Amino acid sequence: MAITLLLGVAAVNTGNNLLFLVVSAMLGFMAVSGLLGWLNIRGLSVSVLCPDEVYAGVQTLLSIRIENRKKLLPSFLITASLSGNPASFILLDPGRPETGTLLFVFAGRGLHGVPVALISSPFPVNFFVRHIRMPVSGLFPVFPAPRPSAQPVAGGKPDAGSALSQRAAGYDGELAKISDYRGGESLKLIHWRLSAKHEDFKVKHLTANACDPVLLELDRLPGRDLEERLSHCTFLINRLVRGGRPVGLQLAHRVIAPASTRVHRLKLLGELAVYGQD
Amino acid sequence: MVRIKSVLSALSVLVALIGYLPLEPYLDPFARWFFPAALVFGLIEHRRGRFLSGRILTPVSILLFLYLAASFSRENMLLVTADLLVVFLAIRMLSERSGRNYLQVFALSLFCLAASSLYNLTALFLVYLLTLLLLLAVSLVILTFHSHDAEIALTRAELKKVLTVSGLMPVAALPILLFLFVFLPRTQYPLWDFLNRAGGSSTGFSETVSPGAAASVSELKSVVFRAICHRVPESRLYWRGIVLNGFRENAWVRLPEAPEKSLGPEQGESVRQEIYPEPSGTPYLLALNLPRQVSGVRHEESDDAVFKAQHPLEKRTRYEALSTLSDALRVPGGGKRDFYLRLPRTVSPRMRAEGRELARPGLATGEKLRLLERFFRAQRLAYATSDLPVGSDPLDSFLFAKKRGNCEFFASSYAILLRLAGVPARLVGGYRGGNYNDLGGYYLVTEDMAHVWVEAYVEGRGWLTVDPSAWSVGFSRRDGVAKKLRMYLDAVGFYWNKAVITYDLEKQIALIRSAGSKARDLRFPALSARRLALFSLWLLPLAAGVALFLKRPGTREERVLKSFLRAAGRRFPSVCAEPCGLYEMAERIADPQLREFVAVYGAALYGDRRLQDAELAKLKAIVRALQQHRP
Repeated sequence: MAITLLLGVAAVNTGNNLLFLVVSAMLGFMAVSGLLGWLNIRGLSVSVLCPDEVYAGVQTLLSIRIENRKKLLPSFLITASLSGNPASFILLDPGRPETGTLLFVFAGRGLHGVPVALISSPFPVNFFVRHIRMPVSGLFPVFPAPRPSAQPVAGGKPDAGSALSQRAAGYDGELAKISDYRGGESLKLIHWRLSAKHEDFKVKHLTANACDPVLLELDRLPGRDLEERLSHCTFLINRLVRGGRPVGLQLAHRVIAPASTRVHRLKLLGELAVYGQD
Repeated sequence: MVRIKSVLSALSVLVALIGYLPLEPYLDPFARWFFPAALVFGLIEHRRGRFLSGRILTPVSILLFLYLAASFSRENMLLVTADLLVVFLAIRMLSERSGRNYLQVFALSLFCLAASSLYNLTALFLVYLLTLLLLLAVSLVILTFHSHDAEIALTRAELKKVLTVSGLMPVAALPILLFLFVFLPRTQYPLWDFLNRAGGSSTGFSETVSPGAAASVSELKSVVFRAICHRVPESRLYWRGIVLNGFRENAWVRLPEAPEKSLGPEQGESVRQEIYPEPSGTPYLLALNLPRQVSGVRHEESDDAVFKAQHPLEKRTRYEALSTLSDALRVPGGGKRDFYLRLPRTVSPRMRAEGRELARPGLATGEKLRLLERFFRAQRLAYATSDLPVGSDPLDSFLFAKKRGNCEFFASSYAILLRLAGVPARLVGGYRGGNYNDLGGYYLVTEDMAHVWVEAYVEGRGWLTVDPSAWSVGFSRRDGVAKKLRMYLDAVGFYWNKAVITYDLEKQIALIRSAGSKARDLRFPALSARRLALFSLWLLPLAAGVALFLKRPGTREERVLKSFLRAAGRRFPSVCAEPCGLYEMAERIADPQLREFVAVYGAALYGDRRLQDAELAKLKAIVRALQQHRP
C-alpha cells in the first residue's frame, strides 16, 4: 500500500505515464486480490461431528468438516476455529469435503450447540487476514463430568462384578461344585463322565455370569448439590455398565429399567445431561 | 511433492531479474556487475543451505550506500538512485530467505522497474511490467503459504491449482489497470519534470552544414518522427525543417534575416499531417514541403516557411501541420537579393571560374539553372556516405577530383555556384523519403533520411525547390524495401507512444467530455417486436448452451456413466427403475454389452484411477450401441 502511494505521488509529480501504468497495475492487483480473498472464504459450509460421549469440562476431539460449494474456485489456507481452537486446511477443492480435528471443551452439561465457526484465511496475500463467521447447525448432549464416587456398590472388584458371581448359581458361569442328582436339575447339567464312575448321577453346579441389576437413585447418591450427585451418578453408571452389570436409574418422577448395553448407558447419561434443565 | 520454499526461492530470482534487466543498460559498471555476481553467489550459498548474516550485510550495505551516494548531484540523481536500488536488491539476494526479505526483494524490483521508466519509454516496458505483475502475484501467494508454514509441501496438482489461481489475478487486474490508467488524476505541469530525461538522441539534421567536416556519415536507423497522413508521391517526400541562409566561416548557418513577406506556396495539393516527433534537442518542427500552418505546439513562424517551437522538443509531443505539395514558395520581390548572394570565406578558383561562366549577362535565371544541372550531370558525381572529400577545400575536391559526396556536398556546392552565378540561393535542411506503414497509416522517418536541398530564387515564381543530389550517379532512396516485420514492430511502438506515452491531462479532459456528450446523446434503438423475437432466437440457444455446459457433470468418467445409465434405462426400463449398484444391474440384466461396460468402468473406479483414452472410447462405443439397438 505504502509503495503504491509512493509511486502514485511520483507518477503525478513526474507526469510519467509509465509510472501511472505501474500504479494502475498495483491498484488493480490490490482490488483483484481483495476480491479473491473475499471469494476464498465464501461459499463454504461447515459442519461439526461430535463423538457419542462428550463430558463437561473434559477435552474432546471434534471433527470439523468443510465443503467448498463454489463451482470452480478452490479455497486456500482456510483456518476454521471454534472458540479459539483452530483446524487448518491447505486446499479445499470444489465439491470435495475435507475433515479436520480440533480439541474442544464444553463447559457444562446439557444440550449444547457449537458456537459459530470463525473461518479465516490470509490468502491470497499475507498482508491481512479475512474472517467470516459461519453458523454450525446441530445440538450435542454433553454429559455431566464424571466424579469418582467413594461409595462402593457391592464390595469386591467393582470392574469385574465378580464378587457377586461367586455366590449366585446359574447356567453359564464357571464350575462351582458337583453334587448328586436330585431330580429337578436340567439334563444339560449332568456330568456324564463322572456319573459313569459312580452309581448316582452327578450334577454340575455352575455360577451365574449375569449380575444383579442395580438401580441408582439419584437423590440418594452422595454429593452436596445436584451437579455433584449427577457427576457421581455418571461415574457409577460408566463403571458398573462397563463391568457388565445392568444399571437402572431412578429419577424424580420416572424409573429407567436396568440394562447393561452401551446404548442403554448412553441413554442414561443422556438423561443425566438434561436432568433438571427442561 | 514440491516444497514451497524452493518455488519461492526460484520466483524471487526471476522477480529480481525483471527488476534488474530494464535498468541494466543505464547502470554504473559497479552496480551492473555487482548484481549478477551477488545473484550467482547467493544461489550457490542458498543451495548449500547457507547465507550471509545481517552482521556482515548491514555494514556492507551502509558502506556501499556511502560510496554510491558520495557521487550524488542534481544532474546524476537518477543514476545514483538506480545504482542504489540495484545494489540493495543484490544484497537482499545474498541474505537469508525469510518472509521479510522476500517482500523487500519484491518491493525493490518494482522500484527498479519504475526507475527504468525514467530512462526508457519504449513499449518493452509493458512487457516487463506485465511479466513482473504476473511473477509478483504468484510470488506473493506462494509467500502467504510460506508464512503459514515454511516447510509446507504441495503435490504437483495442488501447486498447479495455486499457480493457476494466482496467475489469474493479474489477468483479472488488466481491465482495472486500463481503467485506472485513463482516469487517474494528472496534473498539467509536473513538479519533478527534471527527472524525465530527454530520452532520444539528437537528430541527424543539424543547424549547420559544413561538408568535409567528416570522412563518413553514420547511417542511423533511429526514428526521427512519424507522420500520419495519406500516401503522397515519392518525389514529394521532402520534410522541411530549417533554412540555412548564410555562412559562418565556410559553414552554412541560419542567420537572422530581414523580414520578407511570404505569399505562401504555389498552387498544389494540400496535405494534413499529424506528426509525432521522437524527443530531440531541436526546436524545428518538421512537415512536408512546403508547410503552411502548424498547430498543437507553441511556435514561431518565419517568412521562409520554417516553424520553430518555443522550446526544444525534449518530451514526446504531437502537432498538426498543413502543407501544400508545391515546388515554389512565392515572395513579393527580390528585395533581399544581396543577402542571398553572400559567399563563404573561401571559394576555390575552379568554382569561381564555373560561376563566372554562368554569371555572364544575358542569361535568364531559368537558363542558368539548366546549365548548372547539365554541369552537375556532366561531372558524373556519385552519391556516397563514406570516403567523403575532406581537407582545406572539400567542395572543390567533390566537384572536380573525388566526385563523390553526400547531399551536403551536392546542395552546398550547387547553392554556392548559384550565388556565384548571381542567383539568390539557400539550403533547406530536413528529411527526404519515408517508409509508409500501411498498418498505422503513417510515414516513418529515420535519421538516415536526413537530407539537404536547395531553394533558388527565380523572378516571378519565388523560391524554387531544387534537389541537386537527384542528379548524382546511383542516387536512389536508401531504404527502398522496408521489411514488413520492422513495420509491424514500429507500428506497435507508434501506437504505444500515441496511446500511452503522450497521454496527458488535456486528453483526459477531452475523453471525459466526449464520453459525457456521448452519454447524453445515448439513444436506445427502437426495438420492434419482430427484432426482439429474432434477437431472442439467437439468445435462447446460447443461454441453453451455457446452462448445459454449466450443468454437465464434471469429469469425463461421470459424463460417460450418466449417458450409459440413460441408455440402459431406456433399453431395460423395468430393471433400471429399481435403485441398484452397477454390478448388480449387470447381473440382473445379463447383457454382454452391459457387463463389459461395468467391468471396464468398475476396474477403473475401484482401481482408483482415471479411465484411459482407449477405455473411454470403448465405453462410448458401448453406449452408442445401447442407444441404437432398441428392442
